[in-house]
Amino acid sequence: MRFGYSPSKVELLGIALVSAVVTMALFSYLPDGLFGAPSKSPYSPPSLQNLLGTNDIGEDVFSVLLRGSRVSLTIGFLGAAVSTLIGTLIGIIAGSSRGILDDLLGSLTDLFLVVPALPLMIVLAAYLGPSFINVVAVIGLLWWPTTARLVRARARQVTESLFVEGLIGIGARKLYIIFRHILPNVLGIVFARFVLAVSSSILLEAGLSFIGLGDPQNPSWGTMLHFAMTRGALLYGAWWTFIPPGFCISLTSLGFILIGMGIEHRISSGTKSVGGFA
Amino acid sequence: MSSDMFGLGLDRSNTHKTLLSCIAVTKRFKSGKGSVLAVDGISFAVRNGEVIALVGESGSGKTTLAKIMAALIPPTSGDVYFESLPLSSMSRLDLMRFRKRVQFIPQFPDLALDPTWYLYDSIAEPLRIHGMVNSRAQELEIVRNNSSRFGLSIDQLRRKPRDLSGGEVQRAVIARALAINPDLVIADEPTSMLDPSTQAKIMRQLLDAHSERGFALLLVTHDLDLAKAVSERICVMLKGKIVEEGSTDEIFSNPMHPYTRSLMRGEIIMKEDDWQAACPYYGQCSDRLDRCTSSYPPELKICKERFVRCWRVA
Repeated sequence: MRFGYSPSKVELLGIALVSAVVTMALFSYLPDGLFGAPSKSPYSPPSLQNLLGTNDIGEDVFSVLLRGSRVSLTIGFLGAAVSTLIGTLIGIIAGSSRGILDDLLGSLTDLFLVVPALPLMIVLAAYLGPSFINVVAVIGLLWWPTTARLVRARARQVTESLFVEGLIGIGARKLYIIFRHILPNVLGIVFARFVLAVSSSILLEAGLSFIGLGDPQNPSWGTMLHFAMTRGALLYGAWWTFIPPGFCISLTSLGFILIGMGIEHRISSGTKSVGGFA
Repeated sequence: MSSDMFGLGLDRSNTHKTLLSCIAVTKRFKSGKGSVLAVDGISFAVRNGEVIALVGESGSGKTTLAKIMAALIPPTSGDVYFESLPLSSMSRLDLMRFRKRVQFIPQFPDLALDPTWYLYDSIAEPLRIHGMVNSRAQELEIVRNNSSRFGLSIDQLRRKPRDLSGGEVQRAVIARALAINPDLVIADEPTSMLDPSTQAKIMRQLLDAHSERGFALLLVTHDLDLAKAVSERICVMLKGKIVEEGSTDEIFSNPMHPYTRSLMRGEIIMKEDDWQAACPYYGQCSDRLDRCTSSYPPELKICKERFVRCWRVA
């Protein structure tokens, strides 16, 4: 990435949203009870003691929300990292090779693309059991195909470009070309995909937790919705237990999407040669 | 003005040794409707230390031939020999040696270097790949010497290709090719994408480097004046075949093939429908004979190292 680059308004909004969530996550490391002590009464509405009221077991919703941001962000980043890594690896190998290997990896990608992700994810999460690592693994394993496709297309374009021919001419080996030249040239796309993947991971994690497949040890925003749903908050009319996490999920994922879209736009519009955003 | 001019102080004892030769090389490209014969059974040789020009119009197959000779694309049939070792049966190690000694300069400078790399690293790259430098200091010295010869400043070396002009990038491409001291440089229209004043400057610098270091230069060009000015020998290509070959002086004083003659007058544009006759130049040839439609003339040896393919000469 080149510095001295000025972000667009859309990207700025995204950066602002994401910064806000990161700040929330940092605040969650402050001592418990700082933002509101646990109350004896469940579902007590927002007050000066509990800014966002309390939940079904009398915990301060604001404190839970802060801790949830930590979990959502961590799973978002880890899931995105795993899926982007797999997608980049497969995409680069397919894009810079020919024949059977390319065909095989292409078919594998297509196969994963047509698999209905959500049902499979639910089955996998239910089968593997609810734990932090499992959620990350499931997201990572199912979100890579689109990344792989995009990276493959770009890697293919770079592989066929004139400078790679020149590299062969000066005696560069295939692996050397892939890691030193093709990889840097696809990094722009990889970065954009990573940011978008964070957003998707957060949404998927929220979805899995909402249906009760999240890690109960580390309650995320999705888990908050889950408990609000199953413990009668809706019936009780305790809106403060489900509106805040819902908002947080939407705004966080929106923030990452805006940044990712901004980068993708930059890659597709601002390129002079095959260099692109790198 | 040809051969003596660049022999300044060079050891020419091995001048007549063949460095790179191709024998009956054919290249057929598959295209949508069938296939295109880009190179049609060409045999010729480049000798140590000489400047030889491959001249022809666009589409005559000269770039394809140059790339085959640089081992960038494989021929459909025939083979290329590097010091009598065939490329097709070279081991990995031999091929590495070949890549170290034969360098290719492509036609389009703005796409010739990795856009994400600094110019310095691109120029130093072949040195690193072939393990030719032991220290950063040594690398810096070689890169700096080679770049300053082509007028690139240290400041320019710290930039990426998109921040430089086409001429500057082409200088870097040439500096990179020369950094590892090759025995043969295959330059495919090295200056055709640049403006005339830059063209002349870069060509001059390339030739100075040639006369200083004595590498052989295979210059692929459509520019006859350039070929006349710099080369010792010329091969004229027409539709995938070499139709005339000889020393520059002889070819310019006595061009035998009608195609060469009209090339010199600068009036050729090959048309597609000329393919029906055996000789592709039949349609536009003023000296054509009846047998030109039925069979392609063989390579006729006029004298030592002088060939022409034309029934009229026969």
